[in-house]
Amino acid sequence: MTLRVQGLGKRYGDSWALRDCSFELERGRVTALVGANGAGKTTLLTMLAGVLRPDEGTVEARGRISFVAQDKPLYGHLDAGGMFQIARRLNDVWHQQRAESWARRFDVPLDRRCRRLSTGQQTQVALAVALGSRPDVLLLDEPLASLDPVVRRDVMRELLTEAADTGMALLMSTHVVAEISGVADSLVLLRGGKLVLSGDLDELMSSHSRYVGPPARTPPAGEVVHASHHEQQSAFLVRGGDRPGEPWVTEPVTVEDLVLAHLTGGGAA
Amino acid sequence: MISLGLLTLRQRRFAVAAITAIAALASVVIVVLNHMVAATPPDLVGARPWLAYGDLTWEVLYFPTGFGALVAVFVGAPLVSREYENRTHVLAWSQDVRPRRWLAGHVLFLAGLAVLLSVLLSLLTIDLLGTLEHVLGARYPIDPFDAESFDASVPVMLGHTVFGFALGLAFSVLTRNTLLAMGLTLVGFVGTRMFAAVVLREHYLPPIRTWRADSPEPYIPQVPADGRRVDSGVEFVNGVRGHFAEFQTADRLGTFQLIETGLFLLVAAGLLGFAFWWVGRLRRI
Repeated sequence: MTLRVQGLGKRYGDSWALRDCSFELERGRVTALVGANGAGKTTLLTMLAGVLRPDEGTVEARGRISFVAQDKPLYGHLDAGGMFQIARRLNDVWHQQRAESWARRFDVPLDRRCRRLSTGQQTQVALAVALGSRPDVLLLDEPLASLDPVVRRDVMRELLTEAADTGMALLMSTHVVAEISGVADSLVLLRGGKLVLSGDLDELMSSHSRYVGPPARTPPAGEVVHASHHEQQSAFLVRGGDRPGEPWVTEPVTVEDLVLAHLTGGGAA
Repeated sequence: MISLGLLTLRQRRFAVAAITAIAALASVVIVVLNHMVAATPPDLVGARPWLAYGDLTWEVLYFPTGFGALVAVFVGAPLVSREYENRTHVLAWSQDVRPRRWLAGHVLFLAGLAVLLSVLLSLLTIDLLGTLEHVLGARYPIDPFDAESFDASVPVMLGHTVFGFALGLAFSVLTRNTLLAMGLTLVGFVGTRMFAAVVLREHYLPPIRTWRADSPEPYIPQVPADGRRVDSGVEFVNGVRGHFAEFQTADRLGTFQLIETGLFLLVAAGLLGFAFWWVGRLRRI
């Protein structure tokens, strides 16, 4: 365990932005934080990063945490070199070379003021700052949003290598479900400020099944996550239960199915 | 902490350069004027319009006060609100250094610089006031309790500058809006300073009270020439008509300056305490 979250909650006035959120991040593993806009992803990440105080619950971290916010804030009047100097002074650990090599790898001029960099380059400076501090936990809020598809793939590959090499735990939020497959080891899924699903992605996949069969109110087995009914057939995405026989057909569940089913939620269709 | 100070220098180089340049410029003006006043022969004083009371020369005595306002509005007020506005507080405060320590580094360095510069201005102004009194004292006597002479004191100026900075910082963390914080700081600083100068000052110690029965002789003022009248008027004592006077004497000036310094530093400490507590709560992003 590198980071353990227990019963975490944040309230704005009378409404809870996030409530009763518990999960763990493991060393060297990549966890995708999924949820619709306003589900509480940013609230959760900023609390883990220590810039927002929770109203309830605890965050227990073994090691140092780094955070890259969604809008990638930088000091616009400083160049990347200046940003690195600031980061060096604000952190107990700093690897100048790591930060600089990241910036070079993604073609960021080190001597240009950050406000003159493209949004993509600004993202790279923000990532370089975060990685230069050699965190044990790296939190990224929509890190790839401002990057083009090619760079997006390269960044993801580098981050995965970094996590594998250094044992850094990576938690990254996204609302692009397609970004998760082949990247994330684990999943944390928020809906309306509540944690609805979390755990190892492979285990989650194997504990869910999709049954297609004749029109029916209830599935042949398991607990309904999502149901859809058409004139000729009903389809259920369920959790648990034994595999049913004829006339039900069992189809493989994709990550996309799983995530979308839990994001929409409920048995209704 | 030194490391954080250097960070502040790099991050706020514009503010640091600006207040240093302004203080340097003001210092040059004060020093040059001081020489000009000192070089004026006594018989030519009346022929120098710029030496007339209320003219430019005398306005220069308010430079340290103006500098204090500048520090409050342009250094204190934007300090944290600018970070909130640019969202850079999320960047700065998610590093290993925690928010309150980060703020302590900035405050110590910037307030320290502001205090240093305002002490320098204050010393130069005290020197100028001495020259003015020497050359012009007979023509334009300066009441020790007038703002020009009361404020010409290192502790008083230090108290005002620290208070202004703290006031700006408090509005900065509270409003999270630079322009609003600057406006409120300006009004708050000028208002507080005026309130202290006009209303509070003469009451720091109970005034000395005298009473004299009226007589046909010409009236001799009871308030000393260099004293500060607080109140006076007609009063009957045991049925005898007379005049009373309440006043502060010039020998109390030093004590009064220390009392005002203490008051401003006390309020500044409260404001700083509030700012640090408020920032560290991290109630919203």
